[in-house]
Amino acid sequence: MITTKPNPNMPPDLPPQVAMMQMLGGLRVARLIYAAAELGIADLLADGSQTVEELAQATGTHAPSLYRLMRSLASVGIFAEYECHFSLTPLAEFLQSDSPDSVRAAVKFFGQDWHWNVWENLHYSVKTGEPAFEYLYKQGLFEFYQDPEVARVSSESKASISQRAAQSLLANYDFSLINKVVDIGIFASGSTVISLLQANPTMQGVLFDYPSAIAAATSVIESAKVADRCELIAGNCLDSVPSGGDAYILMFVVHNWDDNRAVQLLKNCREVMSADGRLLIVEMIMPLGNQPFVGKLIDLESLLTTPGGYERTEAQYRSLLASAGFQVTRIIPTQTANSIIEAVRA
Amino acid sequence: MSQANLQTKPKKPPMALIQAMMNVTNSLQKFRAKMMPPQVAMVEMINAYQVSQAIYVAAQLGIADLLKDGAKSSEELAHLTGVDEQSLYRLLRSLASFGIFAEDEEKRFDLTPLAVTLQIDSPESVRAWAIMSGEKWHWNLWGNLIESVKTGKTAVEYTFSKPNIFEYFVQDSQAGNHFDEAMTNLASLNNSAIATGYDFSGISKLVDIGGGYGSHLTTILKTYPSIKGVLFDQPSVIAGAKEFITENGLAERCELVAGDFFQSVPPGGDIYLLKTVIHDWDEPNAVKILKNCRRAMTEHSKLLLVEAVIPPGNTPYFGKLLDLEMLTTSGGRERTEAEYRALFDAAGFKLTKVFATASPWKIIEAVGVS
Repeated sequence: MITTKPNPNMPPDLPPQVAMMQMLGGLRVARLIYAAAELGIADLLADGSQTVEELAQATGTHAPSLYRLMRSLASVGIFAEYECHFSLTPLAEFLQSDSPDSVRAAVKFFGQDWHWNVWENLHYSVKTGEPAFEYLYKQGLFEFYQDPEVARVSSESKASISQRAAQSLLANYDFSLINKVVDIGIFASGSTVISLLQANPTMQGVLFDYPSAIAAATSVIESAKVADRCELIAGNCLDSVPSGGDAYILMFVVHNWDDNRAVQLLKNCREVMSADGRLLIVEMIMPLGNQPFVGKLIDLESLLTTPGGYERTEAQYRSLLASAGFQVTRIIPTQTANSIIEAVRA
Repeated sequence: MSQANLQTKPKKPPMALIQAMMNVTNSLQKFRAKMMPPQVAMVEMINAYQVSQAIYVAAQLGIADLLKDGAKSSEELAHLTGVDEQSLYRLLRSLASFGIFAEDEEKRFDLTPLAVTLQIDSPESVRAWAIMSGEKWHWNLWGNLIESVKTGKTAVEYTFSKPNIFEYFVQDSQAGNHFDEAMTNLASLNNSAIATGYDFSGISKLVDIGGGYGSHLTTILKTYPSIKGVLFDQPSVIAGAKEFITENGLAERCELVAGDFFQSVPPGGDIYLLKTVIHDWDEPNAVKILKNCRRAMTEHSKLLLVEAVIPPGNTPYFGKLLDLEMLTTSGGRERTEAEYRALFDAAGFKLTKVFATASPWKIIEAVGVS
C-alpha cells in the first residue's frame, strides 16, 4: 500500500522521480556553496560586481572553472550574473564574513574534509549504531575539540546560531528574578551568557566549558564588555559543575550524550543547585509523526559524531530528568525550532 | 568511449513526468522563495548533502524493496538488512520528514511515492543514481570540487591521480558498473523524449555514434518502423549490445559496428546521432569526433547532437549542475548554443536548428559545409 501524503518540502506538482533527483542534487549544491564560502567570493563582491577574471585572480582559481561554479550558484539564486559581471543576491549575502546572519564560518567549518568524510560514513553508523567520527579518527569528537585551534574555529562557526538561540531564550523566559546564571556549554561560543548579561545589567554570570573553549571565549567575553560580571571556569561537566547559580542553562548540551552520561551531567547540576534553583534546558524536542522538523536531520549528525547523543522527544526528556531527580515545571516553545524545558529539584 | 551511453534497457516514462522535469528547478526555486525566509532556504541548501546521503543509505540497504508487500517496523527492517535498529529508525524518521517513507502509529514504515523511486524495478527508479551519488569515490570527488575550480582539472586528477573517471573505473570496475546503472536512470528521463522530439520520418539509415547498448536507438527504431539503424561503439560495448538488440526484436534492422570514433565512423547514414557524447570531451577531442562524422557523411546527411544546452542568464537549469559533474568527473562540459556553433565551425559543420524536447535535453541539428 502506498500512502499518498504530499511531501511538504517539495512543490505539490513535482513528479516523485524528479523530486528525488533534486534531493540527490543536494550534495552537489551544498558543495558549490562550500567552495564559494571557502574562496570568500561574497566578501570580494561587497563593493560591487566583478568579472569572473577579477574573481579568479583574487582567489587564485582557474577562471573558466570558477565561471562554471558561479553560473551554477546563480541558477539557485546565490549570486547573479549580468553582462559578464557577478554580483551579490540576498542569499549570497549570508556568505559574507560580517553580514548580520552570516553562515560563512559555519559553512567553512562543517565543509572541511573531516566532516564531509563523516557523512560519507553514515552507512557505518546506521549499521553499527556507533559514531562514524570515532571510527574514522580513533578519538571522540570532544577530544578533537580540545585542540585550541579547532575549538576557536568551532566556537566562531557556532556564534551566529547560538546568538539567535540566546535571543529566543531571552524573549521567551523571564530572567528578572535571576541574580546569577551558570551557562554550561560544550565547546560553545559564550554567546548565551553574553546575551543574558547584556540584557540584564545587574545579573552575574558564570561560563563553564572545556578548557580549550574557555580559552577561545576569553577575548569574546572581554569584547562584549561583560568580563567584570562574568566568571570563566574551565572543567568537565561530567565531573562537576560550578555552584552558586540561581539558574543553570544547558543549551544544546544534553543532546550530546547518551542517557547514562546525560543523567550524570544532570545529577552534577542537581547537586549544586538550591531548592528554588532552576534548570533551563534548551533543545529541539522531537515531534512525533512524519512532519518536517529540522531536528530530525540534526539527529543524524548526533548519531555520526557524538558519544551516544540523540535528539529526544518530550517523553524522553521527562524520563531523563526524572532519573536525575528533577521535575519538569514548564516546557516553553519558542519561535525557533528550540524549546525551553524548565525543571526544579524533585 | 562513451560510457555515458551504456544503457541496459529502455524505459519509457510518462510524458507528463519528463515535461515536468523541464521546469523543475524553476518551480522549486519559486516554491522555496514563496514558502521560506531566505535564511531558511540557504541553510536548507547548505545541509542538503545530509539528505542526499540519508537517501543513499536507504537505497543501498534496499529498504524500499523490502516494503513492497507492506509496512514493516524498524526492528524487522534492521533484522533483514543486518543494521542497528535504533539507528535505522532515526534514519527512516529523518527521511520520512522529507516525504520519503512514512511512519504509522504502530511505528511501522511504509512506502510513499518518493520512496517508490528507490525500488530497483520501479519504472521511475533513481536508485542507481542515488547509489552512485553517495558512494565513497563519488562523494570524495565532490568533496574536492574546490580543487577543480582552482586548477580546471577533474577532481579525479586530485583524488585518484587519474585524468578522469573512465580511467579510474579501470581499477575500480564496481564503481564503473554503478556509474553505468546511474546513467541508465538518467537515460530513462530522456529516451522517449528524444524519439518524439525530432521528426525522423523519411530517414532510411540512422547511425548512432557511441550509442551504448542501444537503448535510445531501439526507442527510435520502434517509433519509426522503416528506419534501419547502425549502432557504433567500442568493441566491449558492442559485444554486450548484441543481446539487447536481439531481445528487442531489432536484430534484422540494426547493424552493430565496433570501432573507435577517434579513428573513423561508419559511412552512408542519413542521420548521425550523438547522444550525450560530445559533452564528455574537451574542444580538441570533440572536434576530432565531429570531423570523423563529417568525413563519413554524404551531402544530404544530417548530424544530431542530444545535449543539455545551457541557456544564458541566471535561469535555473539542470544542465548547469550537470556541468559541474562533468568538471569534477569526466573533464567534459555542458555548452551553450554559441559554444556548439563554435565547435561546428571548427569541424566543418553549421548549426541549422535546436529542437526542444519534453526533457531538459535539446536536439541540435547541423549539416556539413562544403
